Order: sequence, then structure tokens, then C-alpha cells
Amino acid sequence: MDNALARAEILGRRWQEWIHQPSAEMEPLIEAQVSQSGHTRADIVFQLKHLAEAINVETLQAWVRQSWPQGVRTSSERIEPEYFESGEYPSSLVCCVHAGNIPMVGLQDMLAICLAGGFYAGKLSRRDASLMQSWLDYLRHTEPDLGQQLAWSTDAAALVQSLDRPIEAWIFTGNESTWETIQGQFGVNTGQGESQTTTLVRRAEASVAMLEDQQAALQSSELKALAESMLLYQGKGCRSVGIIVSAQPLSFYQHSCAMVDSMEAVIIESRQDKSPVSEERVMERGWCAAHQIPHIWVDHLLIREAPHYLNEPNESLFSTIPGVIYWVQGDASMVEQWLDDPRKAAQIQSIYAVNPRDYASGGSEKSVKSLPNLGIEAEIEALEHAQRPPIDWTPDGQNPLAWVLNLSIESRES
Amino acid sequence: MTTLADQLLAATSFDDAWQLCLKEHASQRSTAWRYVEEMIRSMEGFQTPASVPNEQWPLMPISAFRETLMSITETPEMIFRSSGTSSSVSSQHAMGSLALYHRASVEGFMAHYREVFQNGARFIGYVPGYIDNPASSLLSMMGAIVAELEDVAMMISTPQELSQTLQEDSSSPVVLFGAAFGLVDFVDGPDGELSVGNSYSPTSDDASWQLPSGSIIIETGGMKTHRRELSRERLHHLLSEGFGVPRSHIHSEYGMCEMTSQAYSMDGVWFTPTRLARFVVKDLTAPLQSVPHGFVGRLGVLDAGNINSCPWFLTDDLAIQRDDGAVQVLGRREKSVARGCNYMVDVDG
Repeated sequence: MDNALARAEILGRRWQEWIHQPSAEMEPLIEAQVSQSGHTRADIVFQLKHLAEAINVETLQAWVRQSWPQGVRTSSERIEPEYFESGEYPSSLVCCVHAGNIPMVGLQDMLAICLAGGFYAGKLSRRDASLMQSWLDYLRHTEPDLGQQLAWSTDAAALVQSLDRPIEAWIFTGNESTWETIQGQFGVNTGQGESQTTTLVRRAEASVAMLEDQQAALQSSELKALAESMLLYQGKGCRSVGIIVSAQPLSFYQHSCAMVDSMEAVIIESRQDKSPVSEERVMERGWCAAHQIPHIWVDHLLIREAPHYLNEPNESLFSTIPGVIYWVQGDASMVEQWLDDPRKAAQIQSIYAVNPRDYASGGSEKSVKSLPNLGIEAEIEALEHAQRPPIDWTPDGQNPLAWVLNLSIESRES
Repeated sequence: MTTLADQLLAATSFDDAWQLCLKEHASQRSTAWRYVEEMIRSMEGFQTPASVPNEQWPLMPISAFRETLMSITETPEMIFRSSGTSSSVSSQHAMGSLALYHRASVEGFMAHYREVFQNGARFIGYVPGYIDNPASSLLSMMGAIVAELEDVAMMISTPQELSQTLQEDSSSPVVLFGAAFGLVDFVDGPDGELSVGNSYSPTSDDASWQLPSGSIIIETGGMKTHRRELSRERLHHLLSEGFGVPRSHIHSEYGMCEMTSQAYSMDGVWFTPTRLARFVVKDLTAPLQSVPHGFVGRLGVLDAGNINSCPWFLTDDLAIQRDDGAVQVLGRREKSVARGCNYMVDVDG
């Protein structure tokens, strides 16, 4: 683990140096990111501020410690922790096909590969290239040894050309058709199915906020947290709240000035009002108004009572329109039903509550079952942390660092 | 007394029928009309519905048909329901007058095929599986066509019956009208093999059917939920080979539970709506805007026949429009959620 801890120290230190560069260095990067991505400047600044707090030597080392294999039993042998310490295990070349929906969204995967001592090949999204390129450039320049383990491009073919050995594993985000798209982009042998290829696929749509204990109107801090969780990144992040489960019907809040004020405050603060208006969202609002469906419309955001068929087996939990949030009257048992249905559970990224301690595991009446696709106890996260995940958070229950470390065992077995 | 349906059918042009439709919805302040009023408040440059041209008319999301039953009359004569195959909840469409639906459907169909029947063709509406969905609009339309054509027309619901019927009369041409999946299943044969040669053919030695000269196959689409998905080109090839008719005699119909009118394609590519309907094509990301002809967008429908429900709505189909108003339907819009982790990979390389 010492080598990985040493890498964590380097990465944490260099990250802090890079992100605390003078404004004269960072501003052009932010401006470039705004022009190429469609992210608002406020979204980018929010993310950078959060990542500045979340990533440092201590948090990266803590992540390494919690991810480090405690000895592994394979089909033929037991691999002791010392194996990973030896540095003799093969360094995997992992290609990350990064997303572009929120700023620097692939950073966690990149750090995971570097911490594990792997070779990072990053296919950067054109919507999210400016900051990532700058960070990678900085790292290569300041840490030449580490730099030899890095390759990146916004162009798949150029990335493949720059590599001197085959890609051994893939991390990408998407659905069933994404792997086919990637195979086409990278010229991967299509005869080799996903089952034979090592891939880490992120599959989720959005997150759930539970407000079930709110017998009275939400407090202003809670409203702010709720607004932030829904609004930031124009609702396009998988941690963005796409559905609210509340003890109260939406009509309880429909004419609440406090609710609208909180939304407006976040919209103005995050300058979401500067982003283009979604006409699909306008049409959805028109439908709600015409059919007298309870809804709240504040600038770019529509919260509406969920369609009556939401709980039907084949129905999506979330609107297909970003920035349209469903509100459903219910409680934790409703969320549990969703988690029991694999098709619905697979759509859910995270579950938030105003008071997550109410749902702590240990047999509490309010405990919510683990997400079936995680295979681990799902934690109910604090609503206020919805857009502030720690670096060791586990999207889809997958710890990318542990996953990359495990690659060496797979290659040893094969 | 002249009914609204009579007036609609008596209209000599789409524009006249459309105006009648607008007048009815405005006077009733229907859900669809209130939607238009709401939308016009959001649209720059328009003060009243009367000032909005058809191309910019705000279209209702088609999901509205799933969310509620839109009906001006409190007692619709018929509520059509979609098969609900692509999701668990059906669309529902309230027909104020079933006679309107039947007369509009028959008129639209006969406008294209009257001459064929005058020349001695017979009609077979092939509706396997639809008997389980008595609220199917396709079943209702087929029934109306059969009633119109009387003794030269029939409806058939099993492949065995279709096979027997085709064998019994192999001299007069046939207009065989059915859902694509049923027709493909028929030529696939009872074992469901993909080869044409395993069809319900008259003898086990025959590679395929050879329908009488002049026969026409009309497919209604609807392969999406079949055990395999086919392009329209491949579908037409299979039907042409399987029934032994030239490709030029494989036609297509475009209709749906939410529409009173239909559209027909005589070349298998371009669909022309019947008299009471018009198509518009809307921008994929800004669906209040129309796209120029020749550009891909989302298909919108203006259907005056929907005078009781919602005459203006935006489908989830992709389409290109020609200058004469005909559209090419390119398949279903990818509705994978444009958010979260499914929204992530650049597709541009």
C-alpha cells in the first residue's frame, strides 16, 4: 500500500497546486470550458470549489486505505495483500471514455487508475476538455514519471494511435448501446463481446430525495439544499434529484413563497437563468397548466406531480426531460418497492434525505433496503451533500479504485 | 340535424376542417385549447391563437394521451387504447363519434384503393392478436373497411385461416392489410424461422406464396416489439419475397391510436396524410420550432379528425418532410434519458 499512498500524496499535492493556481491561469480555462461545454460558469465554479475541498492528500490516502485488498481468494489461490505491495503485478492500461454532462466528471476515474498504478488513457469529452486537459498537462509537466502513465485526447483514433499496447479495460458511462458506440469509435474487435471484455459501466439516471418526515413546511436551509440538488448542472447529473418522495402532496407547496424564493435564489446564484430555455420543459409546463396538474415553475425548473402510472413496472421513475422533476406523495416504503424492482432500481443513483440518520442501518423501521444492483448496503445521503460527493463515493456501488486494483488479479488468473 | 362529424366530413379542404376544429375547441375551452393558450403566452410574436400559423402551432406532447383521457364530450362513443406494447400503460383516445372515425378511415383508404377494388380485387384485413384488444383502433378501422366493401372483404385473425383463404381463391388479386409483425410471422411460418421458405405456404415444397397479379400488401408498421426488429427496407423485401408480389406493391400505412386519420405510402417511403390531417416536422431540441423541409425532426400531427380529443400533438417519431407535405418516417426517437449517466459519451469520435 505504501506505493499507492505515495502516489496519493503526489496526486493530492499536485491537485491542490493546480486548482489553486492564480485566477489569471484558471479564468481562461473556465471561459474555454463554458464556450465548449454549455456548462454555466457558475456550475463550473461550484464544481471546482467542491473538488478543491474534496481532493487532497488526506482524502486520497483515506480512499486508498479503504479500497486496498485485504487478501483475495481466487479460483486457484489466495493472493495476500503483499502481492499488491510488491509492485510486480502488471500495470493495467485502462481507457476511460469520459462523460461531459458535468464539469470534470471523469476525474474520479482518472485518479483511481493513477492511485492503483495503472496506465490512464482518457478519451475526454469535447464538452469537458479544457479543465481536464490542463490538469493532465500540469501533472505530466510536474511529475514526469507519472506523466509516462498518462495519455489523453478528445479524439478516439488519436488516443489509440498514441498507445503502445492494447487497452485492457474500459470505464465508461452509458446504457446498453454505449458499448457498441465505443467499439465503433475505437475500432475494438466487435467479435469480442462485453462479457469477455473488462468494463466498468455506469448505469443510472438520477437520484431520489425523500422528504417523508416533513410534516411542516421545509426550513429555508432544507429548501436551499433541495433546490441545489435539483438545479445545479441544469439537472443533468446522475446525482441530480429527479424525483421527490414526500409525505405532503405537491399542492401543499404549490403556492409556497418560501419554496419559490429558494428556487429563485439558487437559480440566480448559480446563474441557471443564463442557460437556454428548454422548449420541451416549457411544453411540459403548458401541459400541467392546461390539465391542472399541480406544479411549480420557477424560471428553468419544473416540479410537477408525477404521472399516475409512475409505479407501473415498465415506467421510468424520472422524466425524460432534464429539469423536470417529479413529485410523488409517499414514504420510504415506496422507495423500497422501487428498489425491489430491478428495472426501477437500476435507474436510481443515490437516495437523499434531509435527516439521513433517520435511515441508519440497524433495523430501524425507516431503514431502506440496499440498492439491489450495488450488492452493498446503500447509504442514505444527506440532501445537502447531493452535489458535494466525497472523492471515495461509489457511483453505482462501484469503487473504481478497488475495481482497478482487482484488474491485476484478473490478469494474473488469465 | 347536421352533426359536427357531418360538418367535418363535408369540409372541402383541410383548412376548412381545421377551422371547424379550432372553433369547437375554443368554444369548449378543451384541455387541448387551454394548452395552446398557455403555450402562446410563452411564444414570442403571438397574441392570440388565430395569429399562429399551422407550422408554428404548439403541439401537445403525445404523452398526454397516456396521462389522461382528453374528451370534449362526457360520453365518448369509443375509447381506443394502444396495445401498450412499448410500455405498460396504454394511450387512450376518446372518439366522440365512432361514425366519424369509420367514415374518415374508409374515405382515406378508398381514396388510394377504390380503383383496385373496381378492378376485382378483394380485401383481407389480417389482424392476428388484435381480437384480444377490442379497443384497438386498427381493428375498428379494418371492420369499417370490410363493412364498406361488403362481400369482397373479410377480416382474418389466424395464419391458418389466412393460408386457407389465399389457397381457396388464387385467381383474383388481393389487398392484404395488416400489422407488419403479423405479416412477417406469416411468411416466417409456424416455426418462426427467419427464412421466407418456411411460410404457411400452400405446399411444403413451395418457397413462398405467389399472390395473384395485381395484389397489394399494406403493412402498418409495428415491428418494434416483435422478436426481431427490421428496417422498413428489409421488411418490404421480406414481404415482397414472401408473398410473391413486386416491391412496388408493398405499401405502408401510418396510423396510431392517437390519430383519427391515417397516412399511406404507395412507394414504401413517403407518407401522405388523408384529407383531414397534415404533418409538421419539429426541431429535435426546440420542438416549438419547425425545421425546414428535408431536415430530420420530430413528427407532429395536425388531425382535424381528433375534434373531440386533441387535434395537435407531437409524436416520438423522427421524420423528414417533403415540399408537398409528405413525410418519411425514420423510426422512433431515442428516448433514453438525456440526463444522468446515460447522457455521457460523445458520439462524434
